[in-house]
Amino acid sequence: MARLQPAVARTLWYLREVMGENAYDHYLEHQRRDHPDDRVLSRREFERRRMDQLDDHPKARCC
Amino acid sequence: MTATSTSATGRWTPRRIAIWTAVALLGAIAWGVLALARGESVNAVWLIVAALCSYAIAYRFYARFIANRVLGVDDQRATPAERLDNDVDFQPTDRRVLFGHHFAAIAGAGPLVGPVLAAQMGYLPGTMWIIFGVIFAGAVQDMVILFFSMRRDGKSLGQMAREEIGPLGGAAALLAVFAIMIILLAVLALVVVNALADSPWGTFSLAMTIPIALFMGFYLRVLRPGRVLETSAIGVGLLLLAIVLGGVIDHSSLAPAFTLSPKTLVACLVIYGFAASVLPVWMLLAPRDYLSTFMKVGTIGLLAVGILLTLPVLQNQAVTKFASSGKGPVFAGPLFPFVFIIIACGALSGFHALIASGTTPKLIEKESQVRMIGYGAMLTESFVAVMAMIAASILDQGLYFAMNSPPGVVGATVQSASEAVTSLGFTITPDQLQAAAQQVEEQTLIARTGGAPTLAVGMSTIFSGAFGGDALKAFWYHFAIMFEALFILTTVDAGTRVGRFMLQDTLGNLWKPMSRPSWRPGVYLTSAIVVGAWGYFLYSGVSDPLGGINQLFPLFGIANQLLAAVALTVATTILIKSGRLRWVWVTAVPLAWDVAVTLTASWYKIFSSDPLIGFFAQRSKYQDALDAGKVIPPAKSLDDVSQVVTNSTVDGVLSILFAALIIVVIADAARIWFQTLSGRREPILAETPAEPSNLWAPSGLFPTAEDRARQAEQRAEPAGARGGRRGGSEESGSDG
Repeated sequence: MARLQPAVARTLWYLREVMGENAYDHYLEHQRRDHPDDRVLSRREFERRRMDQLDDHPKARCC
Repeated sequence: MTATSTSATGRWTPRRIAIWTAVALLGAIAWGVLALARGESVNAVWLIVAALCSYAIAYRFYARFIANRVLGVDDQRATPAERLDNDVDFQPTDRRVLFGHHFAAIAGAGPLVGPVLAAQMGYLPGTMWIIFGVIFAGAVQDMVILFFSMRRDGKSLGQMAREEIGPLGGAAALLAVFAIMIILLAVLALVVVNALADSPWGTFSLAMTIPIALFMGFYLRVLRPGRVLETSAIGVGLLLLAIVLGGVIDHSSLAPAFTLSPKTLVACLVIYGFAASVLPVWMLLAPRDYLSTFMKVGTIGLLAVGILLTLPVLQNQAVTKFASSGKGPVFAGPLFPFVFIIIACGALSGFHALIASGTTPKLIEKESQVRMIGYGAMLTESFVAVMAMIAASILDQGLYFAMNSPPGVVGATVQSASEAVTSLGFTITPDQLQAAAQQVEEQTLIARTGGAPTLAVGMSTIFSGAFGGDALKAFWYHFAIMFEALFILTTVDAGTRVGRFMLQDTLGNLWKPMSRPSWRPGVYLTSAIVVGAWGYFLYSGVSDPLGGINQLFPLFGIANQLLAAVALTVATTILIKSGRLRWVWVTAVPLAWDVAVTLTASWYKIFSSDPLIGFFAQRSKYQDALDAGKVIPPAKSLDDVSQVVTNSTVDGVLSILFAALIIVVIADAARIWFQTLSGRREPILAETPAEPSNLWAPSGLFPTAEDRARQAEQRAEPAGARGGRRGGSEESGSDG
């Protein structure tokens, strides 16, 4: 069991990253580092902005 | 990729030499078995071994040579993700995560469908092209374009063509991109229509994905913002439920409501495509994309496990008689060039150049990672194509031809299909055909062209062999159909939207308001044009008496290879202009091959006097019949005959357009090559000037000892040094 734990944690980390679930954490980190004085968006605001950006920048899916 | 892709540095220890010699020997043995087996059955495992050993060697030696010597990747140089990091489109992304994004973006139905069709000529020609094509052409194109776009702050293929070649080449490239988009969407939608026609189970399950996606969109937007994993898990659960429910519907009084004719399905798809293009992405497009990514990666993984567990034996011949005669029912034309056209995305896909010059170059952390992401992801896609070839080749060949020949050849009944298959030189009895359809709970499997149903039967054979036995065969069949239809529709809705923006941009040059995303009339108009364009080809494919796949798939293949030629031309031009004539063969040889294939295929399609192959020969044959008032089979009425005349004219004109585009792009580029090489023109490269990099990240999948040391050093640096990377936390946790 103890051996499996890191593997499970890694898989979860990977899925979160690939699917974009960690995007908000990365945003917070980015704000803290580069724009410490700016207001930070709430998760709801951030996710809305992130999704609405895709409206005008669709990503092609290949064949 | 494979575990062999480790350490970037290090000497040739005896152990390492021994390992690579073993890989090379094993690969050679597998190829030998495949090539020399005649008349005896070959196990699919040899295909897998041949593929994996070839990939390992190509990745370790050839890709590395290209990255280090030809491109000159430089990890001291900051990538656009590091320089322009804005946490929106530019951000340094962990290489493994980016590999996942990139693979999910390039992989689709193409590598699954193409090999199924190419299996008509036997498993060997197709497999050889899938493996050698990817090593020397497809993966090279993806990596090289990714690198050059990265050096230009993520410029698109069209922009690079304009800047490096000229306005004419650039315009031709843009037109090529738009044309291929339309044909691609039509052909993929046709695959879905052929898979769902008269199948209440499949139609119901796929229809359910729309309410499921709407629910997921709402959940993600309002209830739990950003909880993508949990939303996707709920979505996948509902999806499986929809497949099970489809089986219930199939036997209920509701079945007729979901038994749709191909033409009705076309109308549904066109309306759906339009809606997806004008609605906000959070409602439909984004949640469907999450579902599709999960299903795609999950199912491909499952297929690999299934093949390894069941080790199926191939029923297909290595090379069938259709390879030399060129008169196969699935697609007409000789092995060269048509196998290379039909395989499409699994070996070399021009479409990938759009992805490799889109989002990915803006996210890459280190230059050297183009090998893992560009070359590696394409090798993985090629492996998917090999698995599709296996799934098609383990079917009984009689069944394969009964399923993949157009209705004009096999008719509509099990008797007519059995006779037609016998006259092709294979055997299947009417009872066997009936039984095969019953096993997967479909009304019929005859003339289910497009590749998806064949792949689904192959996958259900593999899956039911590995998990669940015969009882689950129907479930697995419909699972496979659902999985293909799901991610084809994701390509169709995303593609329609991308096409809409391309059109808005272009029309915006003529009249400003068109390019504004907020101007609704413009949005509706451009969406309608794009949907109308692919809808037209889809409808003509569905109603074509000669079989839409048979007619349109080669056109799609030509368009895709044409786009690859544009990409390789841009890459070759940049190599020449940057004074790397020595290494120009790396892209010039695949370019020459690709041009030869594409132009030969175009030549056949335009000039062949065989009405089965040449569009204009076909046109005049049916025009003559029309003038004489004669109905010639497989047409059933004069309307059918005039339909063939219209379709073959349009398809023929498109073939001419494609051939003309490729010639224009290459001629324009050749002018630049000549001027540069003869010293008449000072080469101007549009590369962004170098800036030093402050972050370190491993190049390959596994960090080397040096990588670990550098990472430890970086972590010890005082805060304030720019070192923010996505996913850095995990690495420090697990590797420490």
